[in-house]
Amino acid sequence: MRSSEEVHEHLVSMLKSLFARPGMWGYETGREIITLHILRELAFIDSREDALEDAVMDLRAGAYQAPALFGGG
Amino acid sequence: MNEAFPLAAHVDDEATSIYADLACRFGWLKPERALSTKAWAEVEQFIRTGNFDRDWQLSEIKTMFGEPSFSWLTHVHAYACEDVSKGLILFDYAMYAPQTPNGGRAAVRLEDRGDYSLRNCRTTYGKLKENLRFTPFGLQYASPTCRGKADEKPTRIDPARAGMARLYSPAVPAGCQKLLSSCISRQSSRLKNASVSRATSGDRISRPTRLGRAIRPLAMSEKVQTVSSFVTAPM
Repeated sequence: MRSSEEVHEHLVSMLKSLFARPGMWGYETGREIITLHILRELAFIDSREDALEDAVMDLRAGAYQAPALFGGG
Repeated sequence: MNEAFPLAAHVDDEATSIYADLACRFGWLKPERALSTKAWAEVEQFIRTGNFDRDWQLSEIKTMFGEPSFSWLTHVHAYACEDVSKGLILFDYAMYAPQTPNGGRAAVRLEDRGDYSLRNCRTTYGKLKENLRFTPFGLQYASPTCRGKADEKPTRIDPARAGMARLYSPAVPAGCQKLLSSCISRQSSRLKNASVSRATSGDRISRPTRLGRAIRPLAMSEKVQTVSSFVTAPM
């Protein structure tokens, strides 16, 4: 059985690979699901699920939503 | 992101850079080169008050601020501060030139010319709307809203580029892709039939003409690919 440190390291390497070559990790929604999945797994290992969910909610609610560009929010 | 940059060939890196910031804030990603608070303030000052009436090249940005914090983002370069809670400052470079002589997607990548052209810069904190700054070169990739915002200050846009931007306007009817596809298939089948009939009837066709006709459907299919890239739903 792998230790949580090893799993953590593995997930971070996956994350780096995803950021380096995002096109190889699916298209738009699919890639977003995978990215969030990896981030949630990392948050679970660190016991920071709530903090991550808050950050994701903030992200969706404001700063980077495309409608924000059109005055919607 | 697709709505912000409808004319960019793809926005994969731009979209994932947002999650890179998230991973950075949570300490899962360590910047290879973190800027000191002072150096960070200089970069921030540049994107707030820098001269964006001119175009910038990657080499110039690197001369000013050094290597980006992450080497693995392709055409999105990020600068991170020692204090990761500050977020990232991102420079989006253009990988492809949108203009070509025949109106299709550029075949020559800017990186093959030795240097990227800066399209825009943005931050991962605050509203994207308020932190997005385009260079005159980058304006041709911008959505009309962003372009309108950038037009508040004097800008220089190459008329030829502006014309190309109109050609690739996001206001393409939804059925456009289907229509173009049917045109291509019709043209291809016509070409095939014509070459067969010519071959059987013994017509003599000069090589350049035949080559020219054979190339045309390829150029059309490239255009369909580009159009479909922003007809699809944004993130």
